[in-house]
Amino acid sequence: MMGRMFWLVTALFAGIAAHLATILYAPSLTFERKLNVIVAGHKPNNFFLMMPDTQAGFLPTSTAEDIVGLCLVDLSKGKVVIDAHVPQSFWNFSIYGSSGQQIYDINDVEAGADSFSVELTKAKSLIEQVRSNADPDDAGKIANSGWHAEVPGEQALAVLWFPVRDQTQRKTLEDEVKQTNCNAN
Amino acid sequence: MRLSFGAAFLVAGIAAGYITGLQALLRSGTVSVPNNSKWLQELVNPKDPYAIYAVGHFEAQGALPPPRESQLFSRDSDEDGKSLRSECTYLLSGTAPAARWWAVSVAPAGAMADAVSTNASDVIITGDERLNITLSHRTAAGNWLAMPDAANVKVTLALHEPYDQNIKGSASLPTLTKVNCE
Repeated sequence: MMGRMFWLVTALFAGIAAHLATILYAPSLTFERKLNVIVAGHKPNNFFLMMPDTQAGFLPTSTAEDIVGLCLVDLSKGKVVIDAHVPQSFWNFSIYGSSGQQIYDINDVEAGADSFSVELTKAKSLIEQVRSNADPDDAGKIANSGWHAEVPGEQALAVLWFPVRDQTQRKTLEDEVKQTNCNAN
Repeated sequence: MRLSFGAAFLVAGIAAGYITGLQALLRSGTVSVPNNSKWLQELVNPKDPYAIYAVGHFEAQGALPPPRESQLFSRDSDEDGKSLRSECTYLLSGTAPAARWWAVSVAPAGAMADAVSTNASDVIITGDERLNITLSHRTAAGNWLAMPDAANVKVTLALHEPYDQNIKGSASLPTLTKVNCE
């Protein structure tokens, strides 16, 4: 009887472990594999435009007619500043954390300009926040360099999206947005 | 070879955990739109304590979750609840989407990279602000989207910065009616 109970409890814990592994690690592995294919040939902290035929599968709200730019942000060596150049139109810029959750976004109305800077820093740990005398609510405030966001973890993904109203203008718009920089300082 | 009682329990536990995990990922990240609409909204609610499941739902497809300021709706059935078939013609009809930008896509299920789409600047809206798009594998007059040659077809509607952030029912979303099949 005790032997069966032991195996029952062991099986229960093994089931919970398998469930957690399936929801926590399997999706991340699939996503990372796809991201590695997309960013192949591009170093971290480098801005590049996605191929139209892959962007709809990666950013589900986009289509092949839109323009999508990416930067794989690496904060392991310090802050990263993204100097974005976008055409005067509707656009959206988002930062996704390494967990896949969107942690920051800004659009043309909020930025009020066709070029803007976003400074990304690693979020302070609880102990660092307690030790620090700095204002803990500085995330998102406009600094001299533009906007500021704190990223949990050392990696993030910056995504710039905008629709193309006239496909004959696509090349011109791509050339303009290619001036965007994603620099580690 | 006989499996011992303990090993059988262990294997069953792991299999159950794995299957429930897959099911949870499959069902998370989508919520049905009220008023009997066949549309599902695909989203991650950051306030949801189970948001990790919803994020996993998108990551498992190798995709990012929809951005907060966009709304993504999808469906794989017509108004009668029947699965969309590539050999049939459908009419997507309703009021013009009230958003700064929108796009309608049709793709083989699970292969959004192969989607064909049309958007706010391509589509001609009628004078009474009605949206009509024919989905068919044969060319059609007016607004037309080519149905992919696939067993399972999925239609998506992406609204970017919708003017009404709380779309509460099918009245705001277009209907998808079967016209005929070949």
